[in-house]
Amino acid sequence: MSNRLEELHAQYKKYYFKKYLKVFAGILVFIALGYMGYTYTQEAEVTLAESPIQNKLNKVEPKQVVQPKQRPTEYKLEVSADELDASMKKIKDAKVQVKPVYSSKKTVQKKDTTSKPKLQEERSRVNLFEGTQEKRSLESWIEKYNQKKSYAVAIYISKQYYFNKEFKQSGIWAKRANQLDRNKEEAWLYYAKSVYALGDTPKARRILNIFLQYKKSVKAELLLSEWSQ
Amino acid sequence: MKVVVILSLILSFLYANSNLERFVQAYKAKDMALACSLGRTLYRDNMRDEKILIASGHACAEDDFIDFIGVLQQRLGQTPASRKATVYFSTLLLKKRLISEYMHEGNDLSAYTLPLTDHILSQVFEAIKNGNFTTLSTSPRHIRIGDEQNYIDVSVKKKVYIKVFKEGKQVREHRYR
Repeated sequence: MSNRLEELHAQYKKYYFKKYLKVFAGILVFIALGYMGYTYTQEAEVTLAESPIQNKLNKVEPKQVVQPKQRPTEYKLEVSADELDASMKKIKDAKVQVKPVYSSKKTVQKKDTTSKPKLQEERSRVNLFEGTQEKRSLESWIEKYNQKKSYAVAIYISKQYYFNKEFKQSGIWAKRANQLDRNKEEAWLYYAKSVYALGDTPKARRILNIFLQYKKSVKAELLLSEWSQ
Repeated sequence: MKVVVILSLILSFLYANSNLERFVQAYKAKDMALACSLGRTLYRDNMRDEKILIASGHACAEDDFIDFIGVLQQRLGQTPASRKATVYFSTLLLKKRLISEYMHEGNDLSAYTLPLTDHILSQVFEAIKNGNFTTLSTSPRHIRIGDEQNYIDVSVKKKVYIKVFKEGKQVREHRYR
């Protein structure tokens, strides 16, 4: 009987030993798996950190905030009083130095028939055309025109008169030029400007309006807008 | 006869000088309307001094004679200051045309980047370009730039009208062809 009890006690111990052994083995396996898993991830991180892709990714710098470009400096116009005074003085000095010799309208017409070379030399003008045109007196141009009627000569004479402020003569010559070539803008403009300078604004505007009816001209439009102010 | 010639010479000399002096005085006194008028006269009298021409152009830009500054700038360009002035004048001329085109046809201006100036046309152009305005009507186009009290009213009939309002009151009107 006692032997039977001892056997049962031994079997009981064996059973519990096996049971605890299984639990202990399970815990060991769990710890081992946990450790392996941990070491694997560590290795993976190290290899990823050393990989060229990761190196490239690490090299990318954070984006800088791009500021909008500033607009160019403002353009401001201002001519100082000193600069204007200096310019005015310069212009006045230049005028005093030049002292051009102008001929009156009547003398020009008189000399038209009896021109003398000496007097012609005396009357060479200082004007817009100085330096670009041969210095010739108006009489020689008029003679040239009388020999052969030409638009270019007529308009040149008109301009000369205009810049000498002999507007009536300028108008006459502009009209002559205009009769030779009605399509040329300059003759119309000088004719209108001369009439305007003589004080007949409505007539001057009428001339430009006639011209504008059959030909487009920015200069004529500009003059008209100025005269309408 | 000689006396008459000399007298006429002196008179014309004095008249030309008085125009120049009057122009300088008007410009210094900021009377831009008178300065522009005299500046145009000086230009027609074959003025070649660049400072006087720049001042004339500035006066005319302020007095809304934008077309004249287009003509004037052909005599400029010899010095850095005058080249800068030509940029100023050309910019205004182009902006005027672009604004006019926008007001009539509603073209997109956002593609254009032009120099900034202190002129009213620049303010209007930049506002239209950036879309900083309120449309009051589309045909004919009528827009408003600014807030309730201080604003610029831009409308179009035959010309483009730019009216400047400060504290609800109109202080200036510009008209451009």
